[in-house]
Amino acid sequence: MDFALTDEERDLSAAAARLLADRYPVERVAALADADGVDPDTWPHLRRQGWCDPDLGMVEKGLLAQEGGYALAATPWWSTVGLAHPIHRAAGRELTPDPLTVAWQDDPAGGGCHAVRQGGRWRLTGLRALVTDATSATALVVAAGTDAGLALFAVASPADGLTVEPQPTLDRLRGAARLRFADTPGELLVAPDSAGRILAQARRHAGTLLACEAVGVARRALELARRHAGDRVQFGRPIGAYQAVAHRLADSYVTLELATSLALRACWLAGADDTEPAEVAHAHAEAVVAGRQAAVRACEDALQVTGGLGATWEYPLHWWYRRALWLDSFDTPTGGHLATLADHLLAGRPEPARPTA
Amino acid sequence: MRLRDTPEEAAFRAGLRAWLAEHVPRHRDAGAPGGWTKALHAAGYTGLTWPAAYGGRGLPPTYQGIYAEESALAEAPEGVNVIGLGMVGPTIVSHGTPEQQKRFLEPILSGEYVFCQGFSEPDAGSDLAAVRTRATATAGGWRVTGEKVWSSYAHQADWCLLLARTQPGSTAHTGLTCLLVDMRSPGVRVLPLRQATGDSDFNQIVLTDVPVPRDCVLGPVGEGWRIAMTTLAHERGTFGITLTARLAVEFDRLLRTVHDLGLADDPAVRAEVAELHVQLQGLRWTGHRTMAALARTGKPGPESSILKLHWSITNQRLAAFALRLLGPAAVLHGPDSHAAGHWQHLRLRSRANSIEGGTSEILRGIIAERVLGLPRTR
Ligand SMILES: Cc1cc2nc3c(=O)[nH]c(=O)nc-3n(C[C@H](O)[C@H](O)[C@H](O)COP(=O)(O)OP(=O)(O)OC[C@H]3O[C@@H](n4cnc5c(N)ncnc54)[C@H](O)[C@@H]3O)c2cc1C
Repeated sequence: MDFALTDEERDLSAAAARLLADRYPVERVAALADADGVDPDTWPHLRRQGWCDPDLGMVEKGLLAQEGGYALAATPWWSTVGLAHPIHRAAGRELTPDPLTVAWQDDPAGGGCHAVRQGGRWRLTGLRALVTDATSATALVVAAGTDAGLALFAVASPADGLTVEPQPTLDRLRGAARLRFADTPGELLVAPDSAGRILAQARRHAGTLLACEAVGVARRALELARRHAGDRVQFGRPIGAYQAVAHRLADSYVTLELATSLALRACWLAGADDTEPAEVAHAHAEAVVAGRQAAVRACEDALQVTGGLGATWEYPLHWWYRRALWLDSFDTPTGGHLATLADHLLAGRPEPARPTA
Repeated sequence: MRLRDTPEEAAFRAGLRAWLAEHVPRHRDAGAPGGWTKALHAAGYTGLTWPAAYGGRGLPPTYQGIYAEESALAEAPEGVNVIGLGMVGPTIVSHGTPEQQKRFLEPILSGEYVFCQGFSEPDAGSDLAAVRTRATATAGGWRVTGEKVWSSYAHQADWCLLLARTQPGSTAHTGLTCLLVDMRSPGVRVLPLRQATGDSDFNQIVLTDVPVPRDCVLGPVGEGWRIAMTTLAHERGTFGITLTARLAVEFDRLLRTVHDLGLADDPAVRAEVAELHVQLQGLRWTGHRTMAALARTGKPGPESSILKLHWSITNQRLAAFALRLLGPAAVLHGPDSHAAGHWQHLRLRSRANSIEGGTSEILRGIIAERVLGLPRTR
């Protein structure tokens, strides 16, 4: 075993960090969030640097996701590469570097989406909600019910009969939208026999990348706090010299490191070919739980350490906190991941440990 | 020991509750600052514990406790009152000159003068004694220059209780003086500071050569630290009760959310709800014990720090739990979200609970050193 990044992986990470640091200085993050949270200008740079390259391995994608969380990059990269590409790949489509997203969640107020076939063409009607990056996407993957069960459809955006309504979100840099379909033309991507499985795989692929993004968010929050604790003087000493502050940040760092290990492991397993499906699923659940904890915790610790400054709009930390809260609740709740693990751990009664003869 | 209201207290509570039920809804989005104080004053509910000679009702502190509890439960627009009626007024009662008492107390009671508190500075937060705003002696009094931050309601205030350094070259607790500053004086600029939640109810105050007449010095020159500490002690007096009652309101709202989302049978939800209830009860009954101690000794002890400390922890825990109940829809904010984004807002806002009014680290230090008698760290 050699659980360390290769030189190539390190270089990839560093190059991505440089590009994002250049594109997203803190003032720009705040300005984008204060506007509509969309930055169309960076996408060509990501493409050029190979972020949408179909040959990227899962560990490499995980490293890019980490840098995305660290910089709070306002691009539709995660929706495209994390969510949509696995479905396009499963459907045998060529992967193009156009911004995409996937719409599968029901509106919290109720109402799903269904598709009917008329004269050889599919038409979609209904609602999908909480769709990420929908305003940037040029094409969508939409889950819709059919007579034979759930299927996945390709829908262009804009399209006849498609309305994209942005929904105000806590994290303004990862907007959500409600999509209304009214006889909207769609093309069948994945038929009902495998659509459920393919969608679940895509969500897991995307979720593992979010665990990596969470690690990046935590790293940035800790970085802001660490710097502030070194600079801010109260009672004649930098506040980092007080144990209450120092120990808080040390604990935050421990949480971050554990989450980093599990996120990288989940990526590696997801990309390896000699794995048991259960092993991949459990590694995913562990990484998501640890990543969410690390991101929320690091941001809350940083808010405490930055005091009144961190309580202001101008200090940018709350944008990372908002992302951490988004990560904490998007898709499967943490309780669901814990249940998956508990089901596995408690399935059947363990054999009593046998004394060695 | 007696854990029920006396007949007099019960009658006061019932009367107040009925009055609040009728008047709060009209004032909830209170227009003019001080408007709510005016309504309270007309009904005889301001200055409950102030001596009758200063326009108060001279009631024991338990009545202030009942008031704090009932008005928080009724979600009365109390914010501004905390500073004028709760902190500055009592400080003027204890330390003001007879002229100052005549000039300020009646207008504070009637809601004519809205006060803000100008203590914190960019470099003086937890270390309040590091205040740098300087007041230079002039023929008629003082001229003040400096910068205050995080001053709640300064944008609506008529007056500010300001802590400034009057003795050049002095450091720490010495050489400070409390000043009553007219917010309409030349040289006072109030710049709104936006909170991380997006709300703007606290401010930066920039003072440039602001003239402060000699009769606006509160307490002796050079004794500002002691005066400021009285003010903060008053803040901590019944504030624990107010905070706990506000938490009780949030807890009721949490129960409604649990029911609305159909989660009342979920074992994990039930356990956390019951656990939060125990924390809330602990706070509520400790608040009553603190109140009884206050009634006997006349001043809140360092024990009152535990209410603020544990309230912030419990409020943050409640907010985190409530947001988790919303599932994936927690990412929404605004009109599409459950209860119009109430829990999202509380989740963000509650993080400042462990900063405002003394950080949790500072409060733990107070408990460790002044209550437990542990050696000082600084
Ligand atoms: C919502 C809100 C409203 C406010 N309203 C007012 C107001 O109306 N008027 C007013 O004057 N002020 C107000 N304040 C300011 C508030 O009192 C200060 O923010 C607070 O005292 C902390 O000071 P600071 O922000 O400078 O943080 P700092 O003192 O810089 O503290 C930063 C971190 O270091 C820790 N720390 C500092 N010293 C020590 C130590 N010795 N040991 C261990 N840890 C330490 C702190 O606990 C904190 O975690 C408000 C603040 C907020 C957030």
